[in-house]
Amino acid sequence: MAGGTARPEGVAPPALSLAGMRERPWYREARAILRAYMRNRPAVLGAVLLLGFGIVAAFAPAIAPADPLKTNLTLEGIYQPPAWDHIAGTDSQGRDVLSRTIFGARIAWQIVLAAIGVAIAVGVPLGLLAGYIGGKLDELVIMRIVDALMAMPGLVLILAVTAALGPSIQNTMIIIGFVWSPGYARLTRGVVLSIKQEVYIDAAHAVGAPPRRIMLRHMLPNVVAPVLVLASLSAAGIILVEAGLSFIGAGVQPPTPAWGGMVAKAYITIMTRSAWPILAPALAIILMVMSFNFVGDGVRDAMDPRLRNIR
Amino acid sequence: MLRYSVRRVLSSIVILILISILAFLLMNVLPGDPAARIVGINATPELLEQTKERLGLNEPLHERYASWFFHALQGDLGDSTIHQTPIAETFERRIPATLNLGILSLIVVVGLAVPIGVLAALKPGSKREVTASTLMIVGNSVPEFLTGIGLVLLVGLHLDLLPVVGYVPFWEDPIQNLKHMAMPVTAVSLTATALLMRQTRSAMINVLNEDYIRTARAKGLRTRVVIVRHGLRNALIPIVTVFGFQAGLIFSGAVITEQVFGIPGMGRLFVENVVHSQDFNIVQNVVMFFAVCVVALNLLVDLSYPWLDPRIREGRR
Repeated sequence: MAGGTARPEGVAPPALSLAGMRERPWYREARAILRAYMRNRPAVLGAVLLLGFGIVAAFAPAIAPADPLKTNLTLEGIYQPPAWDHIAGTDSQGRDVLSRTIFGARIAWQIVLAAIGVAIAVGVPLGLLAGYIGGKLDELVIMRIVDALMAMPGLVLILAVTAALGPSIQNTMIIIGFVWSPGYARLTRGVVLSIKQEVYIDAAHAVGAPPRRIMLRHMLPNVVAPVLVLASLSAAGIILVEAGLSFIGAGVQPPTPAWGGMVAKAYITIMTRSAWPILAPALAIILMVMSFNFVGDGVRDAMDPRLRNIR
Repeated sequence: MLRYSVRRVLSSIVILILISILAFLLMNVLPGDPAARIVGINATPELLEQTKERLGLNEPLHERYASWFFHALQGDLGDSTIHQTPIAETFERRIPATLNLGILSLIVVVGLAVPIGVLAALKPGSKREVTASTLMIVGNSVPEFLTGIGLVLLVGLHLDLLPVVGYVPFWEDPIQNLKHMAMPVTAVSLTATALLMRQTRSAMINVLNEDYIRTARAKGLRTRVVIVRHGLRNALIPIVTVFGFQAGLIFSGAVITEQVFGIPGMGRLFVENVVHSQDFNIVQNVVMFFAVCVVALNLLVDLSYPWLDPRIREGRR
């Protein structure tokens, strides 16, 4: 945090507390959230699966039975059905599909994390500024651009930027993040507008705190919890879009093993050759998206104090 | 009501103009000179200059934008950067397939999601509801292209029931058209149906807990009348709002699904020109096509509010 006066020991803990819960210390609040989350079975299952995807991604070289890029261009080598030496079969170039799917988990995680990072880095400061400054800049400039961007179907916008920048894994991360950022800007602005009239903001103004300090130290902590919720909810959509992009050839480029691209490659020959190479990456996409959906719903419900004590 | 409608129409126009500026700037300001892309890396500076001149790239930016904008309003979308053919003619061939896919999908989404959502709301916690919510999560997690491929494998190749690729215009042969569209429409509608179903269900549950529903029942009205005229009528506002969001989802889905089923529509054209040839003039016009579709559908949603809710009509809300 680039606050005007650096006081590392005095950094306020992220205010996980929402309205009406402020008097509780943050760690008790966090424990209550965790307890509410653990009661939600699908959400726990989703978290376990994501942990699994994380381990697979982190230790891909150790787990994968073969080199994901090693081809075997012989008649017997390509399009092998699942068997002991290639559990998910081999693809059109004789590569081990299971190993490629395992390395694909790395690509998926990289893109989700980087895209959310970009979305937060672009959206949150914009939302803070728009909400804090308000007035014409907010109403007529920033929010109108946000409206226009959000009116577009996400994929269409992503493809348009891809046309200009060219497809690559870095561009995919940045572009998805950029396209997701208006949602974060709108959310942040909403939070800032709702707390702008609070007494502690007035007090900060009264003691002469500069705007930057008010935004970073007093407003930003209130944004953390809702942004976390939005991040967990947007992850599933990001995986879906990335898979779609790689499927149509506008995302991660071969031979990098992205799941969508693997499906596309196998789909070309579906009329004449076996469909086995589609199965593993397809299952991986569906499982990961489903896990993120469960986790997103779980985080949202657990963070909402109104829902937490009902069940 | 008139004032409200005029305001909505105007703000839609403003959004479209903003999108057109964004699309134009994306194609013309970001790194990657269109002329350089056409002539290749090894071109001489003279050839590059000639190409720029021919494409009108030496004019000031705002003049080029204005020229594109005002010509487009008159139906002249300009020429393809690479092939030098009129874009409007390409669009005439491509648009019907995409609208065909989009409109059929919207019909299927509404036709399935609203009735199922209402049924799921009638008995919360029942088996029907469990089925509906499972369907919803699955529908939310499977990308369109995988649904499409699954259908191709099962219905198209294994059962050999429906044609797998291609497109037949509706007015040439409606039966063949529907046969070709059945699988793509299913693939596009699944996610949107799941989302709309969820919204319908929760909106109906909220409404059915209202006092006036109990009153209507107490009056002895038939259940169907209570549910449709008193329940659904009041749940329609949130349902219609979500339907507006679906529009974007459906057109995004169409872009990808056209690839799976080899439908020669705007989505195919878009992908061809993003992945293979980077034809900037075509891309900016395709972006505007999708923007117009989505903004128009959302405008219809906005304009339906006063019709659905007398409080908005009277301007009290």
